[in-house]
Amino acid sequence: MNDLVSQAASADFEARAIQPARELGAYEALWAQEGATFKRLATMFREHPDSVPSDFVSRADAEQYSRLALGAVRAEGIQHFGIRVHGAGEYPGKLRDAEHPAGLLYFQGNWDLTSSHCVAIVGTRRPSEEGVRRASRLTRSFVQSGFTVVSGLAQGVDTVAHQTAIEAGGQTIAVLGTPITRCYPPPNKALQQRIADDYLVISQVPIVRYARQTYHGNRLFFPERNATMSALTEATVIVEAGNTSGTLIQARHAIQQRRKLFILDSCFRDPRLTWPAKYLERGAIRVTEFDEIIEHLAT
Amino acid sequence: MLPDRLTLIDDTNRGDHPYLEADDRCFFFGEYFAGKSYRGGPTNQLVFNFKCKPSIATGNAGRARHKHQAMQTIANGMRRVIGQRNAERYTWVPIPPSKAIGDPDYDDRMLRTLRLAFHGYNADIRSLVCQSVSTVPDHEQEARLTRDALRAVLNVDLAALRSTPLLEGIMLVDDVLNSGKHFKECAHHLRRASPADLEITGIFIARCIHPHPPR
Repeated sequence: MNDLVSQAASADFEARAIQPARELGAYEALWAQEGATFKRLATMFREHPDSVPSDFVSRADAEQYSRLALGAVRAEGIQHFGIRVHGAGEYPGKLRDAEHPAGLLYFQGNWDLTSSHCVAIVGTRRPSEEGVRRASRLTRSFVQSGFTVVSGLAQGVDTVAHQTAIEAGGQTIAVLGTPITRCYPPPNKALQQRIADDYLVISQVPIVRYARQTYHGNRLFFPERNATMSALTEATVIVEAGNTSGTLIQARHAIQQRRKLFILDSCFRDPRLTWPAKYLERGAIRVTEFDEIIEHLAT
Repeated sequence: MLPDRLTLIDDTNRGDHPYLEADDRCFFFGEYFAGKSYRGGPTNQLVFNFKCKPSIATGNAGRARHKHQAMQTIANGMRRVIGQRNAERYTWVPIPPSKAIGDPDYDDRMLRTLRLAFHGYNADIRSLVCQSVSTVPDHEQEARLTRDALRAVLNVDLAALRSTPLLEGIMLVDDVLNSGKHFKECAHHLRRASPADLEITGIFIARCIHPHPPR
């Protein structure tokens, strides 16, 4: 492994250049290895600064996995997609604030949205009626203020955020817990397609590994995408979440990444919930009015 | 700042540049998002400043300063990523601007940037292709210049070409890769006037991405 990295470092600019098909194949091959996690891959890249996936994988493996991944992309009828590789153009620098940043991202749509003012709106998959109204109101307010609304395409609050942003004529980004070739939950397939066509879909989830394992293994990708979503945004707003909600994973990452974390006042008024006080203590901001969020974002 | 690595045009991204073929070897640093002007992110901002027309920069000190800074940023990035050994290994040729020499908006920014990038090196930087008449850039008009029309207005400076032998190959450099038409036509003219096995590679500050590519 060290030899491969040092060879790359001494090579000329043509040898060092990113070859997208090979790089995504190498990323897929790394993920196909037993025990691969974002933590393990991020540690490997950290220990070898200036390395890329193809530094750790044989050319034959990279080509084999590239064929498999690109085959899956074609099979889904995806004609336009791109990748971002750490060290190459347009890789989002703010992603490096994540604990275990993904070294490669897949995307479909308008990448320039990542340069806009982005805020994540997240919450439970089973919101109350009031929760849905709050998510919708909040999204409209952000759109009117010129923000791009980022969420995770999950059922519930995420879906409301994406749909409302589109209805309100705003911009939206979906950070998937599946590869770009898959959709979860299935009823959101048309919404995902719409976002991929007209807005932006981002995924760090390996296509081949995901296809090879069951739901049991794949469900681990969902919380991992929350770290990426938080890192790509200026702030996260939690609309509604239970004490065991996956949303709280994003809360933890937002605090750790020094992003602003807003928790709606209504969460604090629910006596069953213990997490709002906990995150308030860690630096979250309790908000009642939208204007308070804007004031905090301006500072 | 330019990234630490160039990216190759391969099967995954060649579709955005219809004139490019599988055996064309082209590299780019970043991506320019069409229609977004300077608001499309750091690469858009860099390219926007770099391409500022001389007629605008002359009367606007702020824009002139931004253009100069963009040239410096691009030069620094190229120097860092290309390195002295490679800078001295190839002949570096700017893809000519759309304005002919003598036009008030003739802008040899790429030539000047290459000289800045490889300052102090024994680099072979030559302006070998020029346009005999000014044309309107493709991104400023609906009826784009056809390939034949472009071919007709491009000229190779044979005296400059034959003044000293070419090095290992030609690096054709431009700020934005759009359809690939200018790269292909410059390569066509240079190949016709040079040894048959001349290697030509394209290096671009950014490739242009259109938001709604035809399905």
